Amino acid sequence: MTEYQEEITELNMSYLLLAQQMLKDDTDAAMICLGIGKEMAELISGLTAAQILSISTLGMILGRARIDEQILLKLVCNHNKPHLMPQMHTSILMLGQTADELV
Amino acid sequence: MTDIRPSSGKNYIEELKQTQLAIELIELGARIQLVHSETGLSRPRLLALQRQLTGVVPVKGMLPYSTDWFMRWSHNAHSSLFANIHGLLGQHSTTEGGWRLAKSYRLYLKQIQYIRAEPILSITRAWYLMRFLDVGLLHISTCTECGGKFVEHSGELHNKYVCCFCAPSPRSGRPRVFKLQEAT
Repeated sequence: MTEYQEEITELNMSYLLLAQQMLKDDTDAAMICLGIGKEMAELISGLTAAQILSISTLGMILGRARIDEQILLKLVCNHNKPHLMPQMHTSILMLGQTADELV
Repeated sequence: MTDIRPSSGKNYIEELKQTQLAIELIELGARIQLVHSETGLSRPRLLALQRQLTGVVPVKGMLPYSTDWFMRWSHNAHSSLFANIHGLLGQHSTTEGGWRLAKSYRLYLKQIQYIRAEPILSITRAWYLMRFLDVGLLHISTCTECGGKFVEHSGELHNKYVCCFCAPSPRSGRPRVFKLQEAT
């Protein structure tokens, strides 16, 4: 687990710092982009540098993938039905999933 | 919405806010009827504002009013994308009404830009989409194939909705015809 600690720490800190900056700039857009709700947004925004460091160096990746198995499977299975706008389709699916998760 | 009279002292701030909203909507290409409905500012005032901001003669004529527009293939994709964004903003943000429309539309434009597509939906169409959804002429359906949320006509007589992407011939552009065949 600790083999990639340096890279993981860097990834985590980049993620949290980026998230904080995005939330500060435009909270609503950031929440959609990050796929988080109001509570999580407030928590992340309020993290101090020390807290960020502390949670980033645990050797575990903080940001979980948003594309869940359902979406991935469906997209993989639909490769025999190609259409012109796969990115549009994926965006719609991810937004819908975020909406369901945040209820 | 009542006209805001500048002579009444306590309405200055409100008028300023509505003017800000009007500017935002006009910059996004909104037709004057839309801006008037969302802000309550008088039409002559808005026309002058629009001339000042865009420098072009405002488009005249009636606004398009048809739910069918939203069902055509690529229109439906863009509309559904917008509807998803607008829905998310309504879920946990405090923006409402005209500001929520403007914000949603900006995010839609951004998303379109990221995937290198052309924006098919104008903000005026998006406004109509929201109104049609509000009164129930259109509603959001979940695709039984992919699980995505899409805009659909209300009162469709079937129980197996398939979205424009999952339907077998997405380029045919006539999803309603497809559904009739599915039912038989």
